[in-house]
Formats: sequence, C-alpha cells, structure tokens
Amino acid sequence: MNKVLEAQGIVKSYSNVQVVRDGHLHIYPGEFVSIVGRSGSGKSTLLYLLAGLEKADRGEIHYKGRVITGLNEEQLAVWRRDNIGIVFQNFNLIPTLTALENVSFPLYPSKMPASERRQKAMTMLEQVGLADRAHNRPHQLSGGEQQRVSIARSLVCQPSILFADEPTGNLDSDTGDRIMDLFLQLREDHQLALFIVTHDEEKVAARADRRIEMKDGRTYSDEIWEDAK
Amino acid sequence: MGLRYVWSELVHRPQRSIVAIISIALGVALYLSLQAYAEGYQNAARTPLTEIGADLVVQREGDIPDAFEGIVFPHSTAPIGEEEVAALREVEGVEEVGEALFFWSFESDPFLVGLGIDPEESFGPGRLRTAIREGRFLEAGDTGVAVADSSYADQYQLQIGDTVQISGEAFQLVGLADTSRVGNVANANLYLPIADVNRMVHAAPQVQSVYTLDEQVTNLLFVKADSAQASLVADNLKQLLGERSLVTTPQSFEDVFGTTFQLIDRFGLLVGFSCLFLALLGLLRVVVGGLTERRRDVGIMRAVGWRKREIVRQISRESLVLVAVGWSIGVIAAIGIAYVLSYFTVSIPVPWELSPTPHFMAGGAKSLALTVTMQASVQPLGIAGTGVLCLLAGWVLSWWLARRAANMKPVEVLRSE
Ligand SMILES: Nc1ncnc2c1ncn2[C@@H]1O[C@H](COP(=O)(O)OP(=O)(O)OP(=O)(O)O)[C@@H](O)[C@H]1O
Ligand SMILES: [Mg+2]
Repeated sequence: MNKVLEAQGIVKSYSNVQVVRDGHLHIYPGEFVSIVGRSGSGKSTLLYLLAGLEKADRGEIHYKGRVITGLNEEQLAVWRRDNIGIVFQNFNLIPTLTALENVSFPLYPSKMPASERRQKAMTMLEQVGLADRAHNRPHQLSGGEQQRVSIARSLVCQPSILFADEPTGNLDSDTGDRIMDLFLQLREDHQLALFIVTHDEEKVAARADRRIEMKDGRTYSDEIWEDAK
Repeated sequence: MGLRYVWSELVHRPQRSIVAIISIALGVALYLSLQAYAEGYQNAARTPLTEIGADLVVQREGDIPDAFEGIVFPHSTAPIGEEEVAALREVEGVEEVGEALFFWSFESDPFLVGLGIDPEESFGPGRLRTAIREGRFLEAGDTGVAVADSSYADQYQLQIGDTVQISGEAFQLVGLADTSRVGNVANANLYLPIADVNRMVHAAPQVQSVYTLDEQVTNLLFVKADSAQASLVADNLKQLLGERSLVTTPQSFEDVFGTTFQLIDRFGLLVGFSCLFLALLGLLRVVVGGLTERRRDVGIMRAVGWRKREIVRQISRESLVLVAVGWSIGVIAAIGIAYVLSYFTVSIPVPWELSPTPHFMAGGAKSLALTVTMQASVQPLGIAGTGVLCLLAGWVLSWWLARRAANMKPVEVLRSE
C-alpha cells in the first residue's frame, strides 16, 4: 500500500536547541496515527513540520511520493489547501464570521461561485451535525460546537490527511468523546488519514491504529497497524 | 471572493471602522470646504469689479484745492493725461479702457457727486443701463440731460423731467437708476454725458487752480484685462502712472478681508493637505491596530492555505472600503458645508477712494460696504483629486502593511500555549 505521507530524518531547532531530532514516520491512507509524549517533547513542532507550517532544517517529507520539503511558502499554502486539513486545540475560528462562513473560509480565495461554496460548507456542517447553527458566530457556540466547525472547515477542501493538535484538549471529557467519534466517523466516510497529537492516552491514543511516542524530539513507533496488515 | 468577509470584518469591528471612516471623512470634508471657503471669498472679492464689468479701476491721487467751491476733483481722482491713457491702452494684457470723469459740485444745491460717462460703453458705469428703474439711460449724443441715483432722487424729491443746476448749466433728469444694484464702485448721485462734464470742468476755477488740463479730461479709468494676467497688468499700469496711482484689482478686495481669509487663501492648500495627511495617519493607525489584533486571523488564513497575495488583497480591500466610505461622507459633508456657506453674506468694504464723498459731509468719511453672498462650491476637481489621493494612499499604505503582516510565521500565533 502506498504511503500518503512519509518523513525521513527531519530535524528542527529553535535557537540552537534541537526540538525535533531525526523524526521518522509514515501514514497510510485512512490510517489513524496518534502522537503522544511529555509536554515539550516536540509533538506540536512535528505536526507543524508535517503540515508545512514550519520548515525543517534537515530531512525530507514526501506527500504521495512528491517531496514537499523543497516547496516555497506560497506553494506550500496551495498544497495545504488542496491536500490537508488542520484542527487546533483552541479552534482558531475567525471571530467575525458565522459558522458557515468559517467553514467556507479556505475556499474564499478560489474563484468558486459563492453558491457552490455555501453548498459545500453547508454539507460539511451537516456532517458535523451543526447545520442548525450555521449562522451563529463563534462566540455564540460552545467549545464542542466550535471544534466541530473547525473540523468542518478542515474538511471542506476534501483533504486526504487531517492533522489535529490536541483537538479535545480544551473540551470536557464527554464532549471530547463525541469529537473523537466524529473523527472516526469522518475517517470512514472520507477515507481520511488522521494524525492526532494528544495527551489523552485512554480516550484518544487508545482508539488509534498506531501510536507514535515522542521523547526528546525523537519518534518511537509501535507498529501495531502495520503488523496487522 | 472575500467581499462577504470584508463586510463582516468592517461591520463586526465597528469601532475601528468608524474611527477610520471619520478620520478620512473629516480630512476630506475639511480639505474640500476650506477650498470652497477660499473660493467663496475669492468670488466675493471679484464682485465689486465684476458688477461694473471691469477687471481693474485706475485712478491717481492728486492735490486738494484751496477752496471747496463749484466743481472740484476729489483728491483721489486727479486727471490722467490723454497721452497717458493712450500709453495705457498699449500695455500688454489690457483689452479695453473706458473713461469717466468724477467730480464734486458744491455750487449746486444740494451738494452732489457727479460722474461723466460715455453712454456707449458697455462696461464701467455703462453697466448702469441695467439698473434703470424709471425713464431711460443716457444715449449717444445726449447733452443737457442726466440720470439720477434713485435714492438721491428720493431724498431730494427729484422726478423725471425736473432740472438740476450745476455750475450754471441745467440738466434735465431723464432716468432714475438703482445704483446700489451695481456695486459701490464709482457711485455718484448724478450721471451725465462726459462731454458736458468735460466742458464744465474746463471752466471750474478750483480744478484749474490745482491741475493743468488736457482737452479731453478723464480721472477714472475702467480697464478690461486678461484676467489671468490681471496682477501683472496692475503692476505695469502702476509703473506707467507713477507712485500716486491707485489701481484696484480683485486682489485689493481680498486684502481687506483680513488675516483669516489671507491665511486660508495662502495656506489653504497646505492646511488642506495636512488634514488629508492626518486623515491618512488615522487610517494607518487603524490598519496597524487592526493587523495587530488580527495576527491570529492572518495565521489562520495562512494555515488553511491562503496565499500571501490573497491575504494582502483581502486586507487592502478592507482599507479601500473604509477609505471609499470615508471619502464619500467627507464629500457629502463638504457639499453640505458649502451649501450652508452660500447662505452667509460677506461684507466687502469698498475703499473710500473708489467712491469718494467729502469728509465734511454727513457719513462722508465712511467707506461703503458691498454685501454679497458667498459663492462657495465644492469643485469637481477637488472631489476627484481627494478621491484619487485617498484611494491611492490608502491602497499603498494597506498593501505595504498587509504585506508585512502576511509575512509572519503562522506557527507563532497558532501555538496554543
Ligand atoms: N519558536 C520557538 N522558539 C524556541 N523554542 C520553541 C519554539 N517553539 C517551541 N519551542 C520549544 O520546543 C519544544 C517543543 O515544543 P512543542 O510545542 O513541539 O512541544 P509539545 O510536545 O507540543 O508540548 P505540549 O505537549 O506542551 O504541547 C519546547 O521546549 C518549546 O519550548
Ligand atoms: Mg503541543
């Protein structure tokens, strides 16, 4: 099976401190990989590197066989829009826009007609169960609802990988459970690979196909899913 | 594309939008209404002369006679020689010269101010033709007839057909004119054919005692000149007629408006531009403030795959909408201010020299005033100019700021810690 994403020997330092050293990992289409590790171990940094939001000092990242480490910022932006979705712990919605507008936000720069954009965004909102809150602005939504909006936004361009950095970190445990249910449901529906950074071993990491642990910037994989193949 | 987003940003951050709009609107309104105000005064300053249809009035100061008896020239209207008039016609920029003969008559009862005019002339006192209230105006070849100022006629119960005696000659009134309608320049009580006045002046001892006269005497000239060169022409005429000449131009009236007007007239453009500049500083502040507040939004745009130029376009559009709205409000406000200004009247003091009456007469020392409405209007060129300037400056400014903002590292704002 072809890997959708593969990282080899990636290194990232911040002011002479190596935060990610020799990161190795790969994700298959539709696979759910969770990243765990102590605070400060470099999980978020790894995610940003894979999502093209940070540039690696060394090493290569391949996406569907194409090297993305050499792309410039503008090319990376387009790559992100067309291929990946990102979900943050603190939702990162645009406060002045409604839920529906936030979901269609990645499509704004495209030449797509407004009606089609709305249509796509509405479909996504329906899938995350928030169709009835389409015209509410973020401050009128609960944390769980805001996270659903941000998940809908991350999926509106039909990515093949979804990166999430502690998506349940700001939510109570019940709400977190339901967000995880949603992730797994969406994975089924869209053949989506999930790459989720988490602190929650029990409720998040336990449901993953594979767990990668980070320690001092190094990745340690337990190859459960691969072994099962 | 993101017009919906532009709208949401502006509407949901009203404070910022309002500050930007108000500062632009204030700048534009101030700039345009200052221009309108200055223009209103300039127009007002032009009225005393435009009302008599001349661009310049030329006189020369002379001497005071031994006695105020019979016909006398006020000292502000000394005779100007025939040769001088001929030379004056040749001055570059001079288009036409109209001659008149101004005098006081103490012999007649009551005292009167007279003006000898050429009825054929279409400008200068010839303009009085339009102010005839009763009877007729003077005609070519008239002799022994006169037109009276209607308020003078009322005061002394003079009617058409009555005669007025001046230096032993009888003049029959053929018309009454409302001279106040034609400005207060070279106002007289009685208007007579210039040839008749010329004859009487030559026989007047108190004129002869101070001046030697040419055959054809004139002491008040109305000059039509190329208005673009008016001040240059005025300088040339002064040079020609010597130090004691009095040349009145629209500029001379502007000078009597006082310092406020002169400041606005001279520094109006500077002040106006400063206002616009301050307005753009206001916009700068708002855009900078907005971008700091929105660093996270810009980070999100980057994270979800907006290209930098798309971010820049979005932010510039927001600023341009603010500028356009502010500018429109400013233009409307300026038009409103100009409209209100047009209800104001300006009182233009007419220097004594231009309508001299003896100091010892009641009210004689007072200079007259002409009251005109402010003709202030906002110039289309100013509207277009401020529009282009604001949009251009706003665009450059926001483009530059947005460019800097878009260059941020998204991770810096997206890390949740
Ligand atoms: N811009 C930066 N400059 C300097 N050091 C940084 C920067 N960003 C992150 N770091 C450091 O890199 C290390 C790894 O950070 P990272 O956010 O990847 O950890 P994490 O595993 O996500 O931690 P947490 O579980 O707390 O989110 C930390 O020690 C952090 O202080
Ligand atoms: Mg982290």
